[in-house]
Parts: sequence; C-alpha cells; structure tokens
Amino acid sequence: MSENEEINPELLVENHGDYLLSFAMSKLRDLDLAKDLVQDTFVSALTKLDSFEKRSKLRTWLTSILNRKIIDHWRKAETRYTDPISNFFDQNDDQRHWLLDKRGGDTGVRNIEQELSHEESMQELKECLDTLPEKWNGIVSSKYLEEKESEQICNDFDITPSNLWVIIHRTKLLLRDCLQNKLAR
Amino acid sequence: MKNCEDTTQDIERSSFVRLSLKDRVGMRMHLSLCKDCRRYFKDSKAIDRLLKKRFTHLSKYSFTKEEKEDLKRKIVS
Repeated sequence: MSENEEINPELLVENHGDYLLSFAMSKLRDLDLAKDLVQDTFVSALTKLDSFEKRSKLRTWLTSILNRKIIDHWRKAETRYTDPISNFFDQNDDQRHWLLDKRGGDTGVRNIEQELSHEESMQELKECLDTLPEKWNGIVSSKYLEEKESEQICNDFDITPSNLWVIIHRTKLLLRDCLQNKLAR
Repeated sequence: MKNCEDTTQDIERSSFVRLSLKDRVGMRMHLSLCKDCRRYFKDSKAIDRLLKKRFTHLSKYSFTKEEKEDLKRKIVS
C-alpha cells in the first residue's frame, strides 16, 4: 500500500492508532489524556497533510506531531507541577542518607537481575517508575526509548543540562530505593 | 577532592557527555576511596540495563473497537 492511499481517517486510525497510544503511554500515565492527544494528532495531521514530506514515513511524521503535543502538555503542566518526593531528598540532606545503601553488603539492586524473572523484574520496575513524578517518566522514556541526545531532551522539557543530570541521578536513587524495598519484602 | 554528590552526578553526566580529563580523574580518585559511590556506580549501571529492557518495546495499549469508530468520526468533523 502506498502512503497516499493510507492517508484517510479510517486507515490512519486502524494502522496507527494503537501504536500512537502506546507511544503516548510511554510518557504519560493518564490514559484519557493520552487518547485525547492521539485524537488531536489525527486532527492536526489531516489539516496539514500538505506539509507531510512523502520521503519520510507516515508513522514517523505522526509520532513527531504527537510528541510535540506531549511536550506542550508538559509545558502547560509545569506551573501546576509540585514535586511529591522532595522529602526524600530534603530531610537529613547533610547526612546524604539517600546516597547510602542502608542495607549494606551486596544485597543491592543488581540482585534483581539474578533473582527475578524478566517479567517479574519488569513488573517491579514499572511499579517503581509509577512513583516518579510524571515528567521524570517522560524524561526517562526520552532517554531510554527514543535515545534522544541531552540537548534535545533539555529543549523538549525546558530544563538545563544540569537539571537533566540531577533528575536522572535522583531518578536512579529513587528507583534503587524502591527496588530494594521490593526485594527486601 | 570531589564529594559524593559531585561524583554520583558525574557518573550520570558521563552517560550524556564526555567528561573533561579533570572530572574523569577526580571521579576515579573518589571511586577508588569511596565504597558507597562504587556501589552507586554499579547500581546505576544495573538500573540502566533494567530501563533499557523496559523501553526496548513499547507496552501495548489499544483503543477499543467502539473508540476507534468514534475516533474516525471525530477527526473528520
């Protein structure tokens, strides 16, 4: 099927709807919001079909439109954003308790790779990722799913490079703490 | 001498950019002396591996049949 034939509402939804929804959900937690953004993406795509470069893949083009909508959402959400986990870092910061692996020994997060099956470890990881601020989830997805460069991520999320290192650093500390708690159970 | 916070942050920074020689040497020196940061270094790599696995494939989400029909109508009007 050529790309031309593919561009009608029916086929857009059938061929790309679920993919775009899955992509949006790698960055968002709110399924209704994700569905709305996919719908907006189709509307935008159909109104600016003439700007679609036939050389690029339709799905790539659609994904880039969706990505911009997700980024707009982050920017709007920014002002309402409060950090639900700042306590983790702010209390006793001088003791850097967060840096220390309180359990000591070698019962670290590395054991999760040995002790749990792939499915189990992915389930635990998902639950831990869900405890992060949503925006951080989006940043993690940009880095590990899309393998974006730091400059691009900083641009998308409107943060400075040093914000980015700190967020990745804190993400890992939180994930480590969360995974270790799960292992200790 | 670098402290633990600088060192662990440099560990993350180094996955995005190439550290300066000064920072690389400082990081190595600190790591050779600090058990907690060595542990952080290993844990950080382990979490990298987990996250890479997690994001290799998108988790699947789907619209229901009804939602798709609804969507097809909505995006043309």
